Amino acid sequence: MLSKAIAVVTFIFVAPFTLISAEFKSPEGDVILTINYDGATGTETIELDLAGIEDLGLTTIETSTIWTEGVQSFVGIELATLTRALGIASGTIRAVALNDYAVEIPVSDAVTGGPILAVMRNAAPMSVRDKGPVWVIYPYDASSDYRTEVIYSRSIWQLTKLDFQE
Amino acid sequence: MTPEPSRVEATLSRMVNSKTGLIGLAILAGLTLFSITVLSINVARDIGQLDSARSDNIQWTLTQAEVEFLELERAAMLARQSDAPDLTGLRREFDIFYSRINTLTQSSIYSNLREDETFGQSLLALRTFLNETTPEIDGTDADLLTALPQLLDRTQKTGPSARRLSNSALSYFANQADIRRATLLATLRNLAATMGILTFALIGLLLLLNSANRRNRLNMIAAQNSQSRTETIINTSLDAVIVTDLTGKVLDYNNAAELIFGHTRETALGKELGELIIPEKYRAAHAAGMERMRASGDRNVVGRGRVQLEGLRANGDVFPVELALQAAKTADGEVFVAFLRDISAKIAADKELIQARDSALESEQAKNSFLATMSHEIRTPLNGLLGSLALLRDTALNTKQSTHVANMEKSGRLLMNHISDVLDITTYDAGKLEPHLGPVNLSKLLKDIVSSQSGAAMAHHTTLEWGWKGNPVDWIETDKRKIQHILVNLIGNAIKFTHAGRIVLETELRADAPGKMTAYLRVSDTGCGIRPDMIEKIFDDFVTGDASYNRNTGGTGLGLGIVKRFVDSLGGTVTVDSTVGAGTVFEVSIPTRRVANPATPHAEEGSPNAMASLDILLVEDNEINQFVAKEMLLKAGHQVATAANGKLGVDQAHAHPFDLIFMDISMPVMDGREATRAIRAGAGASKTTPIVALTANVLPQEHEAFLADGMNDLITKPLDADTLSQITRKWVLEMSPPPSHRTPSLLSEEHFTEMREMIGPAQHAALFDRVSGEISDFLATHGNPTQNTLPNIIEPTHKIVGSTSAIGATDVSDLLRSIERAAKMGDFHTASQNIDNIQRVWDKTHAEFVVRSAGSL
Repeated sequence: MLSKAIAVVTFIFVAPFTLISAEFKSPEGDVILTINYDGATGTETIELDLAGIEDLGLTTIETSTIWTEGVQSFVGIELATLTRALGIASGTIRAVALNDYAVEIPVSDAVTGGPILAVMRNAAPMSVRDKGPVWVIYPYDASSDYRTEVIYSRSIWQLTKLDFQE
Repeated sequence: MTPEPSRVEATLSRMVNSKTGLIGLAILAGLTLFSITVLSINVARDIGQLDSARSDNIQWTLTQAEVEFLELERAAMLARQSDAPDLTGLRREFDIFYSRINTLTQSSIYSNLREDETFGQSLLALRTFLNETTPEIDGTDADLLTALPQLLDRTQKTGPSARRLSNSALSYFANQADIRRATLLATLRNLAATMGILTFALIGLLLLLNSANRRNRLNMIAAQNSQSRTETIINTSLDAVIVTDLTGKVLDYNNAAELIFGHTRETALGKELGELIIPEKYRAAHAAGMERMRASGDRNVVGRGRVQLEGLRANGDVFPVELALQAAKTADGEVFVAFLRDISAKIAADKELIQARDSALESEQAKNSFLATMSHEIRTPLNGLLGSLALLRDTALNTKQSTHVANMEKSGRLLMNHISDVLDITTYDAGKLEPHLGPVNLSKLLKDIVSSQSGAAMAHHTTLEWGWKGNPVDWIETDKRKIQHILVNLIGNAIKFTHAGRIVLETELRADAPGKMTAYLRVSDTGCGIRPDMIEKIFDDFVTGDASYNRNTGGTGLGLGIVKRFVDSLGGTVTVDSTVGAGTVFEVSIPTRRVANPATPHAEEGSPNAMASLDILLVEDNEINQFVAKEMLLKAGHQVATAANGKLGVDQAHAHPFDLIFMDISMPVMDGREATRAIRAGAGASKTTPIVALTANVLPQEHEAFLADGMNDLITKPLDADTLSQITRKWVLEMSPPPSHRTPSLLSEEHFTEMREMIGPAQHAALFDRVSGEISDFLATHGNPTQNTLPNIIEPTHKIVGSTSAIGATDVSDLLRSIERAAKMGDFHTASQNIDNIQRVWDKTHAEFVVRSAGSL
């Protein structure tokens, strides 16, 4: 049900945009996130530092999580913003963590008001010890649909790489 | 016709019966449903816990803690052994482990787990390790390199804690999972049980509803059957059945109604009853009646049984109907059910029956009146004939003439008997034959009958005898004339059928109870007998034996019919026993009783000739009868004056004081009854003279009517010398003999002597004094009567006559008797005149007593 709705929303909003990967800002500091996707010339890679991520536009999610105590304020870019920027509307994303933990997130999860790639928690950048520097956060409090084991497993922290797949 | 009761209503009413059961089941089902809901929520929760949960991949995370610790240990070992140690990798592994332990320390998922002792201690050990190690990791590369050996050593020492953490968590979660599974299982079990109960409840409900449904269906079928039966009954009813509502609108109309009233059902339904079947002249009354019923609820004719009314047919005929009206309450309101029966045929039959009865009664009356008239009309000339013959017989006749006269008389008497028979039958059949009971000397009666019949018997060379069986009894109470008639008929019959034989009349009296007796009169003959097939019919009218005898015997055939009727009227029975060729026995048994010999001193006294000559008035219009009767009376030594009708009779009675008046009843100008009333009402010389009716009509109620008119007695024509002399003697003796006709006697000589010897002179004198006192008292009280007080003196007079008779005061007694008689007749003049004489006659009597008393001394 949800996935169907998300698919519809995605189609409506994504279709008119045709952004180019070159628009991503080239990294100047430490690369904290590497993105691989199928471009016009085969697999293309985008490397982003914190500024590159922030440059895509930040969103805040206020929510509690099962791993923390109390309501946290997470700031990051929406996954939907990223998929729109890449012009990708389908397939899955293979997300890989620092400790080589990997999960698959369907592109259909990337909706406005959906998951974000959080880079700050409670107005501070997140260290590795604090599950940083990038943590996939869903708005758990917003909907029970986001309080499932599957969503929890997709909430990968210490994220380093996103591989877009068909 | 009655609307089928709504099915819903029926169902509801049925439900009421099993209400309790249904409510119980419904409550059970409700409770069960509630339980199921609660349990389902539990199951959903439990499954939710199993399914999503806020768990993340707990086991994985926990084992990952150990894995990441091992990674850290390996990185520390590699850095220790390497010449160019990868400090960045070490730091990264530390951070990852640090992050993991942070999660385990902070995350709510592990809050329960953290309570576990082993886990808690292991976590604490790991946190201590982190705290000790963090400064070294966060320090410079040089410091880190320096601290590397201690770090490795510390790491290796902490290894078991990481291992314990992982293991304890695993066993904890395994337990948790077990508990959750058990809870879920229990919940599921409860759910299953509850659902089982619900299922049973639902099945029960289903069965109950099914049974209720079946019952309803049966009831419905029964109701339909009942309705169709009712319809069949109504439609096959011979009575018209019409159902209307309160306004008189026809709701139902059966087959018989179609036939009787001629309207078809289709035209009748919905019409107003009044316009349909009620004749125009009654419609207003009908409408008023309906209005009254609607307004006041007055059900005037409802349930009142059958009422006779008139109905109107479709063709305009008005005919009589019988109506029974009933009211009934239905679901659509009150209705009236009218049952109507066409009774025109019955009415016509009734009318015919009444006509038939009327004409039968008319003809019966005509017959009776014809017979009575005939008997009168025949008797009157016959009476004249016989009277003339009697007179002729007393003249000088030669032998041949005497024989002729005798034969004529015999035939005349026979004819008279036949007429009497017919009249007797008529009288009996009219219910007017009542017994006139009185003292009868049976022996004398039988003797007389036998002697009167022996002549006829001798003519048949038959002997006729009579006798008593058992002790002779002379005086009994019965109806003399009827007994006589019965015996004469039976003996006459026996004589007719017996030739050269013997006839015996035997009498017997048997006591049944004290004061009650039965008289048996048997007439046996040695005649030809009666054939068995005739025996049953012989008491029927006009039965005259068989033809061969008929020729020899003759007769009206009424003789035995009269016997039967007379015996019946006396409350007795008559039986017959006969053997053909040997003879016949008739036995009459009549209830009676013994009576004393009535004192009839005068009856035995001498012959009519011995009587004083009387002054008699004979009022009779028929010349022959007048002549005959006058001759008879003259022959008896009386003076006779005659009058040809009532008017002339009244005139003569007024002018002359007669001793006795004979009065014919039916006469021209003025009849006997009116004449009698005139004589009694007037103030003529013969006002108190006894009047005797002469009549051919002998019906008892007429007898009473004559007496009411003022007549004293009645004799039936034809007159004969004996009857005349008897009646004459009776009434002359009843009357106070006029003083001129007899020797005055103040005091009976015989009585005086006898009395004096019995009681002595002193008592005798005292007795006279007492009577003297009574007379004084009587005169003091009743000495001056008026016309109105006259009836009051009757009883005292009678009483005082007793006293004066006892002392033998003949003249005073006679005087008092005449006063009593005059008082009874309302003759004020005679009564007061005689009362005035009492004192004078008594004084003379008393003087005579004194003289005689002196003489006898």
